Formats: sequence, C-alpha cells, structure tokens
Amino acid sequence: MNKEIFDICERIAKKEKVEFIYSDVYSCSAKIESFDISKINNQEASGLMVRAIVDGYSGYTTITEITEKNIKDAIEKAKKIAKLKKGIKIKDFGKDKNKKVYKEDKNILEFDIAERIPEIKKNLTKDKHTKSYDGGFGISRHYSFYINPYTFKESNFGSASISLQINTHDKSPSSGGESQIFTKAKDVDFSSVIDKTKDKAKLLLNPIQGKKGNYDLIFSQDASAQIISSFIIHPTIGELMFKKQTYLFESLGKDVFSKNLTITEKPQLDYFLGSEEIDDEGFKTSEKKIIDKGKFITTIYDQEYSVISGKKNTGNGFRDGVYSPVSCDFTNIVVTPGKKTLKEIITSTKNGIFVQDIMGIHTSNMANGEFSLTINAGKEIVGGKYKNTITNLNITGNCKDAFKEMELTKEQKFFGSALVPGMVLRGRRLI
Amino acid sequence: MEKTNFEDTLDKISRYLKTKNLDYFDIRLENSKSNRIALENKIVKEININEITGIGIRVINNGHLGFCSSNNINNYKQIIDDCIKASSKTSKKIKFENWESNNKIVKDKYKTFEEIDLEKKVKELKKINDKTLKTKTNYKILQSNINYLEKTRQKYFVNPDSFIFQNDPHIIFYSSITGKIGKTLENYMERFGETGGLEKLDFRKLEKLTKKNLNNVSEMLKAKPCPAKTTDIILTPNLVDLLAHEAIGHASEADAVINASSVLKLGQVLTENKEITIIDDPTLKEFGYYAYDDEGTKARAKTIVKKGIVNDYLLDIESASALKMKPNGNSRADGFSHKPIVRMSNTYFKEGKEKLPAVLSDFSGYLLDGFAGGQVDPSVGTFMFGIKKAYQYKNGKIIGTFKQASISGNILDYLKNVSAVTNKIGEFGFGFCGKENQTAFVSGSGPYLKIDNAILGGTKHE
Repeated sequence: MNKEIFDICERIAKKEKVEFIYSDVYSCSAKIESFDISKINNQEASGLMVRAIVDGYSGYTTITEITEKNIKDAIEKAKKIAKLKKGIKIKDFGKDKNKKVYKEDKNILEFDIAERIPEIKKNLTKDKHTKSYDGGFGISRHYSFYINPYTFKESNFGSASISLQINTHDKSPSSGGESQIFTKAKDVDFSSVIDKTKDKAKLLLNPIQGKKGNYDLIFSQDASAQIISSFIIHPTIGELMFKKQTYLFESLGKDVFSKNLTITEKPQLDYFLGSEEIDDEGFKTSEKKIIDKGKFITTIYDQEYSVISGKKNTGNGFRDGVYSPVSCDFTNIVVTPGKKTLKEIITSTKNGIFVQDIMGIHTSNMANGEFSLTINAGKEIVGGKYKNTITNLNITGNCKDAFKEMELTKEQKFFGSALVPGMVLRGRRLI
Repeated sequence: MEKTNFEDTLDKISRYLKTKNLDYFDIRLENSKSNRIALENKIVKEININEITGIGIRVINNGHLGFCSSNNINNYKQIIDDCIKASSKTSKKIKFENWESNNKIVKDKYKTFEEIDLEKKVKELKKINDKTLKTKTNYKILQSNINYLEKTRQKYFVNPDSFIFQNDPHIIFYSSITGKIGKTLENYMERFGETGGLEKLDFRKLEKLTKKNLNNVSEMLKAKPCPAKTTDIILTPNLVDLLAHEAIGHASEADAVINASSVLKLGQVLTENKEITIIDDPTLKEFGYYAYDDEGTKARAKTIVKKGIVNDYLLDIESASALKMKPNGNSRADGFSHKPIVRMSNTYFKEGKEKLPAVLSDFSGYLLDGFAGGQVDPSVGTFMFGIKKAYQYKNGKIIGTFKQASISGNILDYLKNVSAVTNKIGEFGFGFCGKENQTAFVSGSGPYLKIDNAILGGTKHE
C-alpha cells in the first residue's frame, strides 16, 4: 500500500510541481499501574500532506483518504491557500539529493511488547516502602516519505520506550522516576530501567522541606536535558531570533555561556531518531556547532525564516506531523561531556544538592531569559556524602547569567535524538 | 461523509463488536475540523485548514481492557481483533460497573464558522495587527503576532446501550507582542478562548485585547525583576484558577487516588477555614464545558473540597468501580485517537465573604496577577506555578511593579494559610491541561485569595 502511494506521489510531484509528505504511524503501549500491567493501547494514523507553490507563495493541506482524485483536489486546495496567504515569497522546493548514510535497526520494527509483559510484571516487586508503580512501556513504528519534483527521502524507523515512577512511603510520601528510549532491539532492557527506578525511589525516601542557602547544584541527566534544551538550545533557533522572542537576540557571535559548554547538531548519527540527510523542504542538513566553548555561533533556519531574515537556509525545516506547519527544528543534538564522572563530582562536593526532579520549566520567559524552578526532589550532599532528601526549594535567575559557569559530567544519557550529560552549577542561592 | 454515513459506520462496528462476546465496548467516532490563521507582523505566516475523522474503540474482554484507534475507519475489524488479542496478555483484570445508558442528541445552539469565509477573517485580523504595529507607544514594537484558531468536533459515542451525539466548537485567539526600550526586551501574551461558534467571534473584542497587550508590554518593560522571599500574597482570580487546578484538581483525580499517586483522600481536612470550597463543573458554558463525558456519563458538578475538607473525587467508570463509587462524568479523551482518562473541566474556588477593597486597604505584601503555566506532583503534593506580574503593596498602597515570579508549596499545607476569600468570582479563564500525552480544554476561576507566609520565587534575591 505504501509503495503504491509512493509511486502515485512521485509521478504527480513531477507533473504538477508539488511536494508530498506521507506518514504512517503505529504505536502500541501498555500501562503499569499499581503492581500490574493493564490497558493495551494500539494507535494507528496515516495521512498525506500536499504543498503547492503559486507565484512564489506556498500553501498546504492534508488528506487521509488517499486516492488520485483526492490528491488532485488537495493540490487545488493547497494552491487556493497559497493565493489567499501570500505570505513569504520563496523560489522553489529544495533540490538536494538524499544520500542516506546512517543506520536504522529494522529488528525493532518487529518488537512485540505483549511478549515482554511477564518479564515486567515479575519485576514489579513489593517491599515495605513501595506503594505503587505508575508508568508505561511501548513501541512505535513510523514509515514516512518526502517527495518533491527534484528529490525524495524515505524512512522506516522504530523505537521502544519505558517510563516509570515508583510511589513510596516511609515517614512521608515520596517518589522516584526513570525513563529510557531504545532504538536497537538488542538493547531493549526494561528490567534494568525498573531496577534503576527502584534505586532512585529508595534514594529519595523521606523528603523534608529544604533549607534556604547557597548550594552546588548537580543536575541528573534528565533534569539537565530539560534545562539545556529549553533554556539554551531552543532559544538559539532562527524563528525566535527573527521574532525577537529570545534572550539570545543580539548575542550571536558572543560568549554567553561557560567555556565548558559545546553543543553540536549532528544529523547523520546511526540509530538516532532525528537523523535526516535532507529536511522536510528538500534542503541538505549539515553538522554544525551551535554553542562552541560557550560562544553562540550558529542559528538554524528553515526556508521561509531564512528568506525573511536574509540568512542562509541551514536545512532545518521540519514538520511535527503531516498536519503541522514547517518550523525551524534540530535533527540530533550532542552536548559535549565533561571530564569528571558523576561520582567524582559528588564526592568532591562539600555542600550541594543532587537534583533529580525539577518543576516549572514551561513557566519561564525565554524572551527576557528569566526563570523560576522548583526542586521537587533532590538529595542533599554534605562533605561528599548523601544526607537528607529535600523538596520544595526554588532556583531562580536569568539565563544570561545563570550558565556562565557550569561543569558537565562525563556520562551522557541517550534521549532518542540527543545525548546529554549531567550539569553542575556551583554556589547557587536557593529559597 | 455525511452524518448518516457516520451512523451507518457506527452500526457496522457495533454489530461486529457484539459478535465478540465482550464484557463491554464503546466506540467514539469523531470528525474534527479546524482553521488556523497566524500573522507575524505584516505577514500571513500560516493558514491551516484541517479535517480529520477517526474512531477510538475500547473493549473489555474477560476483564482485560484494551483501546485502539485509527483514522482509517474501514480497518476497524483488524484493529479490534489485534486489540482483543494483545489486551488478553495483560496481567490485570478490571472492574467496570455502573456505566450509564444514555440516548441523546445534544442540541447546543451555535453558529457554524463557515458563515464568514476565511478570506474575510484573514482581512479583519490583518487590520487588527496592522493597527497594533502603527500604535504610538513609549517603546519600540519589535513584533506583533496573532494566532487565531476555530475548531469544531462532531462527537459520536456508542456503547451497548447508548447513543450520544454532541458538537464541541471552540474559538481561540492569541496576541503576542515583543517590545524594546534600550537593551530591555519584553514579550507578553494576551489570549481569549471560548466554547462556542461564530457568535463568539467579535473582532472589536480581539482588537481591545491586543490594545490591552500593548499596555502589558509597556508595564513589563518598566517592571523590575521580582524579589525571591517569603511574604504575604494575594492571588487574582486567574491565579486562583491555577491554584484550584494544579494544587487540588489533579490530586482529586481518582486514577491517581487508586494508584496511590495522590496525597488526598476523602474526609481529609486541608484547612479549618470554612470558606474554602472548590468545585469542578463541566456543565458551565466555559472553556471546559461538555454535556456528556467521553464514556457517555452525563456531566455534573462536583464539590471536590467542601468547607476545607476533601469531599469528592473526579471519577471515570473504572476508578469509580475500584472505589465502589458511581462515575461522575470526568472522563475525557483528546480526540478519537486517545483513550478517555480522568480529567478536570471548569474548576473554581467558591466565593467567600470578604470585600476586596477591605482586604487591600491595609495589605502589605505582593498582589500577583497573570498566569504563566503550572505543574504539580500529586504523589508528594508539591506544586509550583509561574506568574507574570507582581504588585508590591505597603499598608494598602502599591509601591512597586515586578515581573516574572512563581509560587510553590505543598497541597497539604498551602490552604491552611489562606486568610481571606473575597466575595466575587472573577471571569473564567481558559487553558490546556496536559496529562499522559493528552491535552484537555479546561477553565477555572475564583475570588481573590489572601495567603500568608507564601514562598514567592523571583529572579532577584533579597
């Protein structure tokens, strides 16, 4: 069926000078509740996006019943939208060739989560502190193609994932959570993630209200990924630079962050979910440093924002599904790790907090860089050793200053399309 | 497909499901149409016209629950068979009792969005944005963006004894303005969202909102970074909405309660203050309105907290069965492709007795206004939410304006510090609540609340 649709689209794209993106997604997941596995959830969805350019203006629409007649109607509709919109004038679709070189694991496409239910159920063990398990695991498969009159790309990738929280109670309620994504079938190991979650939940028993004061903050890789992604990486994109909705507006080429921070976009990494040779507009992706030793050196652009900003298109125009507009987005991100292991950093910390769970990332204001976060769960470190579990302490500041001094851990965590280490911010005032 | 075709499809699927000897099934068929217009300064950046139709089917087979969805409706036999097969391998059998039999075509009156064509809407919105960009201000307007969305969902629900049809139209408008004075840059967003059709579209109202947003940017450009400290605060109704939603609403969702993921339980005293009453009511025609939930249960008001005591949970059929209670109409799904889960609707604090001028007359502390998102961990009770503006008061007089603050605390302690509840509920706001990768349209409000010794998070430490 997918081959048939591909052939029809390839023929029409050349004849009518239009662009297509087809997507066929399937996911299957199960819920972990209390000490059981329940609620199988199977979702499938497919659709075809059609984009046309009329007098330099583009318009698109999406259909789900894919027939030649519906495609032709959609082309007319897309042209009508282009004429009505008259947004940003572009020359043509991208013409770069797709010479895909990275690897994807086809075995994960055959992964059956129902077979893993007994193994997971066996690991949901009870002890005196464990009140319940809460989470889920599943797989997703995504077949897609992109075709315009000059070029095409096709991909068929899959991933498996688990996300789990263990709710505990000793003297007071507490919890600990872990999640992991896998892109190779042979790597899928749900049991080890459950074991890590148990260790974390145990570590975070008996939280108490944290005391105000100055601390060295060591962020777990998950907390670090949230902060670096939302407060540093996202504000660098060209769309926000053009809209002046980022505190990094007017900071290109300047030393903004710690010299220890280097962030690179790598579009062709084996088994990474963001890997792409050309973007969703037909332009070549490329490896580029975004932050180099603290200096903000590259902004990414899709076709339209490159035109209105008068900048070079960097091949970063991607759609978040066939119903979504193109926006500037990254492929894969790698944050360069530091030299010290997490253990070395913790043992050398005199007065700090190992921050496991933060709240409020989305409440920040990235136009002026101001943020306010709450530590929901962290482990106090005194003289290199863990002491109390603490909760409800606030970290506030401005991104322009907050990341001028930072260290990164040697260990990185894989997030599907990113590799991120833990992060250390020394001497921060908490209330 | 016309409505009659949808009904034929539902009949076919229903007949097929009846051959499977299931304990229970339900089918949701939805047709969703949306138009979005996005303006960035003088450019029409996006016009999206989308329509999607699909089915979501839930089955219980020998106690095992499964859900499947597809936008390829003709594939229903395959997805049902796969779902029954896969769900039989789960380790938990669930109870599913007291589900309602309802046959109803909900006849809410509203005007269809097609009555004004898209071209006219683009023209009117452009006019508003062009006017905004030309407005004389004490700062430089760097960017004025408008986002307009109109969305209609036709929703069919069928279970072995029910047939329900309801329409679910919404209209949403955002104005985002970025301004600059010297090196200071500020962005502010004002928004408008209503349940309803074209009758709710009033371009003059949208223009007024954009003007208000111009003033917000001006105010924020002059405001100083908010201090971080422990202080008395007053929350305006839009933040009381957030407090009701984040601090109490999520923890009263019964799926969290039965999975030991909530710190709340019925009968628990949250405060001795008898003026603290919190209600969730989907029947109010606010942004979180619906007549029947996505399990076919008739919507009704629930008093979650009554005079300071936890009084009720928000329930779906499964959690109600587990708790030996009756479902109370709070099961919602984010479209056909997601399974229904326990959600809030319109959640608000009831009014108290105090008059606002009297509360403010000798107030020293910070009056907080403007919602910037929130989050809660119901398993331990910690919550936090972001605030856009803070006005410092000393003996009843404003002595400073600050920007970007937050408050945080624990559900079990926070309401104990409420020292005044004013006597009028403010306008209901609107929001989008995220849970299990689903988004629900919600609303809320309340009177002004005075809270003593609160943790105020700001970017400036004192």
